[in-house]
Amino acid sequence: MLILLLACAVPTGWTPAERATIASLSPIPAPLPSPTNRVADDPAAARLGEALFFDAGLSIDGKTACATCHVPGLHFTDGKRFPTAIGTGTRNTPSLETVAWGTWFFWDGRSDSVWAQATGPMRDAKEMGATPEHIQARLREAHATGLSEVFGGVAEDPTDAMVQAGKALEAYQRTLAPKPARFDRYAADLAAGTDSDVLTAEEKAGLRLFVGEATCVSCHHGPLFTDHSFHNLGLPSIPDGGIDPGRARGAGQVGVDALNCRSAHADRPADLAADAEPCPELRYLDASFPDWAAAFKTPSLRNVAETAPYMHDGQFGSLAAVLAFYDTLPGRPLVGHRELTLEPLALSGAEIEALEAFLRTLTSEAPAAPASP
Amino acid sequence: MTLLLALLACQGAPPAATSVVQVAPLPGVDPAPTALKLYTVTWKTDPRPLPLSTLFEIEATLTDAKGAPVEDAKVRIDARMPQHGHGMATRPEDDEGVCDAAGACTHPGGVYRTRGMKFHMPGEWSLRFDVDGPAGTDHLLVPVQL
Repeated sequence: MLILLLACAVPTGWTPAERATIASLSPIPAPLPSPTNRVADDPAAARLGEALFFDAGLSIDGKTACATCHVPGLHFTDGKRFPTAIGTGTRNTPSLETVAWGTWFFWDGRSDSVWAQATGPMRDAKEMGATPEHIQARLREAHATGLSEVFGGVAEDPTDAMVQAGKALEAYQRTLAPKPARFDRYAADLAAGTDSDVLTAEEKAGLRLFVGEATCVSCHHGPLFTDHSFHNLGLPSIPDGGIDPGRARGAGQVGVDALNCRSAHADRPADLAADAEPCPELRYLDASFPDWAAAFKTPSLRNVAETAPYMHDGQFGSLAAVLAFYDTLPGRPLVGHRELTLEPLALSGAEIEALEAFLRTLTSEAPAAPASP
Repeated sequence: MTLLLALLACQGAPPAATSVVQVAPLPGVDPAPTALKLYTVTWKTDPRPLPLSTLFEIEATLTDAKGAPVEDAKVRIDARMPQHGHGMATRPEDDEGVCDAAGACTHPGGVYRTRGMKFHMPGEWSLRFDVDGPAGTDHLLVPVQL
């Protein structure tokens, strides 16, 4: 009888469905291939990319590097609502830790590879403001050895040289995967049959809400906690925000992007069959999908507690503010309609706190900045 | 025995889960008759099991009421989330089959393929096969819970 009482004293049991969902959230898998970048997993390219990432000489003002806004100690975000570089941006700086699993890049998905995306901020007048010619000159001046090792030299064409930089930057970014978090240790224990105390009762309550009643997992699913898709949340309008079409514009832009998968700058895997489609995501993309009006990419929740502020426009300064929004879903979207799956959570204060407590279990150690950036 | 009692006693302890989203493999599907029973559709996905948020293709084999392959039909495959009011965010393409110089196409063995499908959210999807063939037009709806 004593055993019976002890066995029932901790009623933390999960249903088979809950266990299956929790198992689907961990562990973090190996990065997906990057078929249009033949140096994506070349260690020498990653070293070159790291040097480029911290090189302010690539910017037109000589003061701005990728790392200016993607700060390693902040999980490659900047802690600001909008990035401030040469100018001030209009969208929040996303983390880079999960790019190796992505399909579309930028908040609106207007790039279909990390290397193509990386050339965007280098050329954006508000960010690094460089031209391909400036980038090419900087590569020759400061990175010739690395370029020689990885690509056999700096390309003669300025755009080709810029693409070399982008591909090396991708190789580096693919090494930034988040480390396992406390949640992963709990999920591993659970998969092995032990409902361990790696998570507290409150955190487990938050996890139960996350995979259940709160339906967070509808969009934040898989080990990266994202569906890699785009949704209109019907965020509150903001005085200085204007109207941002989001994915509705980005889906059209990626199809005509001069650096997309179909461009001559994209590498082709040597083992790609002659009749295989090299760009399936681009080929089958529905650029006019109606629900993409003012929709933005679902961010990963890995290290979410360390990457405030939140949403594509950084309008929420804390996780509590984000959860308060989902709890009541105030207002109506200025463009399009709110994702129909969203309904006010109407949770208790304790439940909201439990959800936040669970989200904090997704935090892992932040990478250190290089010794000599 | 004590342990058995403990386990039995605790079976009711876990709270009933509501709205649990289960990311489960797509089960195999037996041959299914279309709504008017003009045809039978047997289908499978590649990859299988079906992962979320990943492009996949469907191979459907179409037979008539006597079980013979239907090679000269048009089969369109689509999917929607009825409760969410939207379909897929991709534009799938139906394989045109083997076509002659005049543009007449057949599907040897009654096999039809559609590529570029993607279920980008878990939940209830409705897979729809629209058939326009020798016996007339008909359709098949298959609920898919992801």
